[in-house]
Amino acid sequence: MSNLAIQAEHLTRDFATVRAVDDLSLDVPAGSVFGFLGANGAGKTTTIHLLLGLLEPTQGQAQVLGLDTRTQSQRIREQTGALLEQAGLYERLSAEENLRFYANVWRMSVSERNERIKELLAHMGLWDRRAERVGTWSRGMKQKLAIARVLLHRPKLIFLDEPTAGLDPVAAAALRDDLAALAAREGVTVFLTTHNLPEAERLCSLVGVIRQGRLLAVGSPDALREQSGGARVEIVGTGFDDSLVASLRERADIAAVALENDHLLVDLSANDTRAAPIVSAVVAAGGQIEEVRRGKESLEDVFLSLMEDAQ
Amino acid sequence: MIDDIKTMMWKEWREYLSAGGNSRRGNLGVIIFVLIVGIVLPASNKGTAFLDSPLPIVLYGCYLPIFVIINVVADAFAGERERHTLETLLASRLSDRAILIGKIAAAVSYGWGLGLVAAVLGAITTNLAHGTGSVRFYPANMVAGIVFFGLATATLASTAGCLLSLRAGSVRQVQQMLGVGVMCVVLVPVIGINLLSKSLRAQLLDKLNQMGANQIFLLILIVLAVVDVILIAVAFARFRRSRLILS
Repeated sequence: MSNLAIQAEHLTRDFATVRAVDDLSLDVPAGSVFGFLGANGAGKTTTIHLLLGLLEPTQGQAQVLGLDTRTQSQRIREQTGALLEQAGLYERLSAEENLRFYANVWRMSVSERNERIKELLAHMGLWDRRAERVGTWSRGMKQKLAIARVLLHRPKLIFLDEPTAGLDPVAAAALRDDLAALAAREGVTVFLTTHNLPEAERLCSLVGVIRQGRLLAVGSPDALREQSGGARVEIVGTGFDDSLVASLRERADIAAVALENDHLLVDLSANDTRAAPIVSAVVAAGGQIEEVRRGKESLEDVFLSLMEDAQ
Repeated sequence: MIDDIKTMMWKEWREYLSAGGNSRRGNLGVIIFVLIVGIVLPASNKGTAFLDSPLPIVLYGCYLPIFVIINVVADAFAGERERHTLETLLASRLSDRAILIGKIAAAVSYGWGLGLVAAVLGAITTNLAHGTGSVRFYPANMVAGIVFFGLATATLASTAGCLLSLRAGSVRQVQQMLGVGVMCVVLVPVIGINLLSKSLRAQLLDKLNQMGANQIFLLILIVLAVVDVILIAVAFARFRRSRLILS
């Protein structure tokens, strides 16, 4: 078996007149955390449905864990876990009953089931509340329980569709920490869809950007930043003017310069470009510098520039 | 497959018992109904003739199972859709058949089981209220009637409910459609007989009299069984994961 958890080739899905997924080709290595980034309606959820074999592609094909999504969908669902757009919990049942149901669905033995339920609920800080009806819980607690349910049967691959959507920042951060810790501990491949870019930057080793069903870019966050233009230097101070900006733009080691109030934003032409000669040039031109910050372009900047390019 | 069906049934039963369909009042309504049909009606009858009459078959083999199943079966797919649990269930390893049979079997066992419980309550109440010293139970043909009619009508109501629930937009819509369906099943034969000419009606009654009660019940039972099999086949044919996931 190849070391790819997901391999999609020219995957396409039409709904009436709308093409939800358009010629998507994608490889996700086993053991990676893959972030699938896109705005609402970009085709992320449809892609998950296709990969789980819940929908048939109009064209193309995909293999998940070496299994064909058209002909072996039930075997795919046996070996994967999915947290889809909604938590999907039975709110009239207790937390323990929810997990017990899905443990039985995955045919876990009674002893394995009880041990695993205790392990996951304890890890999520929900063990003491296991007998409570889920309907009385907060959204954050429900999402934690839903993630416990996804991991219950130790799947090789998990699909998480916007796992932190609708959570307050504190709950989202806690959930992200739990998710990162559990994914690392369990060694599962994670296919995560989100439009929360800092979340993707923090969790994902590989990201893909999708817009209107088309995959615009795929790679590690660092590789995407590099493709997009490399590092950035922010110089804070006074005495900056248009002539300084014009002279900096002529330099080969600078890709772009912008002046915003007392901030000079300099995009370097390459990641390994040194900032010192540029700072010297600014000082030589009469600029009085108070602070220099070197940073990378955020994934959000990369995402937005990809979206602009696509338009 | 059997384990998967049992798992599905366990979940459905837990939901029935924790909410009785859609609300806590649902359970209370079912309990009151079982008590009325199982205790109040037999107690208000005179003597032990209730045990030998066809009434227990109508009450425990038809009326009660249909009433309680209509309350819970509408929830089967429409309820899961409303509460956003259907997508997760469909993304699990359970096969289409295990999900569908599990849901039908849970509703059948619930309605049929309560019918049998009420029948036993009815026999106990009759003995306590009108007993003459010796313990009496339903005759064997009545027991067979209650058991098999209960199973057939419970299967009919459960399968029809699941079938409607597959495509319906809401639980309420399914309940309304099932209510109208039950009314049609009850009213159409009555209206149909009244529409017949006097001579035809007399001929029909004459033939029924010639057949005897046991044969009539057997005929109805066979018709119900055939309709059950057809409905189950239609439900299997209409269960489409790809369609449900988009609904």
